[in-house]
Amino acid sequence: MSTATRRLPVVGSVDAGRLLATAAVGLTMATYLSVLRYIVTVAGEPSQFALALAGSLLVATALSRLVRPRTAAAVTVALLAAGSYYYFTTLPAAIDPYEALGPIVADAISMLSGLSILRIVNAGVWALAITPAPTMFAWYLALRRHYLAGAAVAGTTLGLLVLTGDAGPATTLIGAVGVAGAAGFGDTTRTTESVAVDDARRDVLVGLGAVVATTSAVDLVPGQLDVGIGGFDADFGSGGTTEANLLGSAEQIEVQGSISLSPAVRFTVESDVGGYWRVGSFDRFTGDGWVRTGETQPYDGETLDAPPGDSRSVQQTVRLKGRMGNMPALWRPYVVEQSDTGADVLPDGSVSPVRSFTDGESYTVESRIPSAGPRRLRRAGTGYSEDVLNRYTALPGNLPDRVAERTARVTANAENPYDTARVIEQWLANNYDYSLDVSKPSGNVADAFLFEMDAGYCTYFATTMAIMLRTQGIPARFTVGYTPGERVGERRWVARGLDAHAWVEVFFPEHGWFRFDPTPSGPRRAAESDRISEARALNESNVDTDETGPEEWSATPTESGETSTSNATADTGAIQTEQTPGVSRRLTEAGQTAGGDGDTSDGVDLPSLPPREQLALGAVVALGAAAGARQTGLTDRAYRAVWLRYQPRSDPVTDTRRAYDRVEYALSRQSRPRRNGETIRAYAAAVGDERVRRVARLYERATYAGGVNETEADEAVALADEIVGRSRP
Amino acid sequence: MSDAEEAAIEGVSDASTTAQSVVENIGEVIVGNEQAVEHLVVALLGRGHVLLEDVPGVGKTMLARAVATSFECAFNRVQFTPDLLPADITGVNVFNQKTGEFEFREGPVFANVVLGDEINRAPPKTQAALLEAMEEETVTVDGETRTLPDPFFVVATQNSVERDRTYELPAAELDRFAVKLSLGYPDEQEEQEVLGRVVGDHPIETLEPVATTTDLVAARQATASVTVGEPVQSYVTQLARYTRENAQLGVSPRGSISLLRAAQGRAVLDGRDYVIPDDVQSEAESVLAHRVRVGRDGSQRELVRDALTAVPVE
Repeated sequence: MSTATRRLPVVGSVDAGRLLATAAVGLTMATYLSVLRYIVTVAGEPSQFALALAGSLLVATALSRLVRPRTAAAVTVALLAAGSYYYFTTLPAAIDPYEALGPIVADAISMLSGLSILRIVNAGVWALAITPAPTMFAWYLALRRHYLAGAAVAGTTLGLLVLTGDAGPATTLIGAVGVAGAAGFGDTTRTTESVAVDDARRDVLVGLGAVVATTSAVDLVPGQLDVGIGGFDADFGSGGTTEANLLGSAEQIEVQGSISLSPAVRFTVESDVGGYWRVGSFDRFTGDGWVRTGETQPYDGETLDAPPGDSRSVQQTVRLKGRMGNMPALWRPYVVEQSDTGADVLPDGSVSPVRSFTDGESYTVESRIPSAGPRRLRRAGTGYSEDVLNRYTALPGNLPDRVAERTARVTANAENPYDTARVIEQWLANNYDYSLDVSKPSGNVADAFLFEMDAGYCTYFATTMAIMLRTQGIPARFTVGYTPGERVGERRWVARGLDAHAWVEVFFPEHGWFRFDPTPSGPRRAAESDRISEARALNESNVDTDETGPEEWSATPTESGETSTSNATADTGAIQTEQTPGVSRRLTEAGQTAGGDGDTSDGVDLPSLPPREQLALGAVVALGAAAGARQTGLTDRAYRAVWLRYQPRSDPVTDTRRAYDRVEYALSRQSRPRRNGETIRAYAAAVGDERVRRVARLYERATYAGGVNETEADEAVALADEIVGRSRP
Repeated sequence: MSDAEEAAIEGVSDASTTAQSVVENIGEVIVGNEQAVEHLVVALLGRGHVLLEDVPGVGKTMLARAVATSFECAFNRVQFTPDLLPADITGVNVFNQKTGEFEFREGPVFANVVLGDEINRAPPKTQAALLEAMEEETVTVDGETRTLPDPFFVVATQNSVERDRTYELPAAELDRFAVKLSLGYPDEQEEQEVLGRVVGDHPIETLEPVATTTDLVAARQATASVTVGEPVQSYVTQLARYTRENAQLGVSPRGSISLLRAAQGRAVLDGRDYVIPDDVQSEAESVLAHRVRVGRDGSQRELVRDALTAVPVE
């Protein structure tokens, strides 16, 4: 480092550096805390979380004045142990701790390999239990000015959440920026001895941060849809198709923006009746998606639970076309009679293949279709079990009250859960348009769909309906699968990718789960058949089997298979078709306006702030840029450029000295920096001209003789201006 | 600017004139070696004593005599030999039979300029007598302390050959010499000039004084009043600390003081009433080098030069 740089006043004070470093640690903490808060909001008690957070910060602040890091670490371990114990005691099956240990270890392993915390049944408690320890310790370390260590603690916690997949790319990016910031800003408080070690450590961290930031940025490319990592091949569900979105990931579904339809044939079914080929259901709503909680069990060859009420048995044989990781079947699967891959049983009773099916493989499932009619369902009552209520009426903490209020108004005349469900189904279908081209709303999807959007596709309809029902205390869940598809024979159906669908199942005591489909089926089917025709026109592969074609099977019109089932909702599709004429026109309109702002479609275009996420991301990028600039010395350089050319005046001695500093800096850029043991006089003689030597003399007078007068100071500054001006590039 | 300050500046410029004329005058006798002469005068201004170490016959004695002559002051020379006794330097009390009392007979140390020739040939006890005089500027004989004349300036010489049968000066005593110089052989041209000058009268015989002892005392006072800013003090301290960290034995605080005084002397010689780091740098080698003890293969002067390049200048 040249002497010129060393003698420069430090940019910003040390306190600013500390403040920024503390802020950076805080930022890193904020990232994992935001994830935990989200989990608590979805599956727990937000006020308890706020309490735990505030308590941890307070304790950390108190401890930072009182105890040494060793003691604080001990407190952290104690907190962690207490948290684990608390979580342990809330486990429903924790009768024998030793027996519970095995599943807990298994859980821990699967969590580290990507099991979302939301899939734990007690996710809220888990998040509450884990919060205090790292928060306390990280904040303690930050207050003790161990910024790197504090950021490391926070970063490790964030890392755990990254491994479980709960921390998204943006959160991870912010966390990485926080750690980099702590490393970058934290060093201003270091002593010179540790600078070398610090530099090396900082370089590593900065490099790490850059890697994470780059990969995150790649993830953030607009328009890319988050396709879950399911058992799908590229030919099955590449990109943002409804199918990939709904059925791509077995464990969770994120509500997406625009989406397309895949016309490729997926499977053919041989069955006495057609119906919704159901894949699985989701019970936990996160605000912008659905998560399935609970354990998947291997199918042991025995019969599964039958629906509680009356039911009829239907056997289906499904032959797959291409790879597929699901096992669509009518509700409710009772016996898996044959499967080329074996079968697992999902927590809701659905079946699932152990591995993905490949082209040409098949399976046979016997289902028991509940046969209760509307009359019996109206009389079913509300005698729900505690378990069902806990699981299927839970609402995320961030759901605005207006959803419940609107639902109550809409369903004011309904006297029983069945009517309530039916009213909501109709009301949604009648009041919202079907469109595949929507931009994903921010915040709670159900609330946004109800109040801010006027069109959506099945995911939106089903999500909103399930949430509306839950606000009325009616157990409901989000279900995915395939619509019956194209009927090609008396007992044969062909399902395509575009038949992937989402609907709602509502629980009725003594009868079980019944299907409701709030999506306007007319427009949906119109959009689907348009897509098929288009695909045929374009000669896309795999659109048809040798049985399908533009000509429908003649015995019954499309979807007649649906009406032939005894399911309670069988008739709704037909009604809606009649109720929504002119669908394709509206579809086009929706397509044109989609992506724009719903509010600005009529009236004046008001300039609006970018969404919160964008603002936050911008702030993070700005902070990262600031840290980077500091790291690369950009701020120093900018500061010096100004400092070099503009000299504020104070007293003669300071002025003279600063004048020389400027000259020397200019000279150091021009020829060479002053060497360590080189005196000013020698340096000026070696590299400067007469004016430089004169400034150097004046500097000597100011520094060593203890005084120059105003005139001399003026002379020095004028000379410096002249010299610096000359050296300006 | 106060009167006192003005007076000080006045004193500095007078002292500067005196010092420069002395340097010039000595140059009449000593051919080449201007730097050594300057160092010597600088040490003289800074109230220091000088140790000359060199091979015989390069003009060590001549230099000392030239200094004495330039100031028109008393000059004594003591040839140190193994059998020299302390009393031979300080003087003795002699019984006067006429008066029946003891009379003090001053030794050669009672002079303004004393040349201690080949100081390392005398035993330590004798050396110590001279060193006490250098440090205290007093002499104690039979319990009675006598003050030496002012100014008092010792030039001691050491032979750098014939190291056997000598008493090496201990570090503690070396430390008392402000500077250690060596003259070295003159180059070809200078030697020719020397020969030219000694034809006829030796120049030392005809050398005229250019200042008085009063001038020297005044110059010394002016030198002591030269401003040493805080950055220079810190620079000197850091140089000393560097030697302590990088040598077996570093520079003592006495060494730092000597360096500061020498720097003041250099500033005066340069006509400045304040010290700049350049003054420190030009005196550092001659003041510090003989005070450090380096390892077997190190050089004292190199260590000081290292310090000068390593320690940053404010």
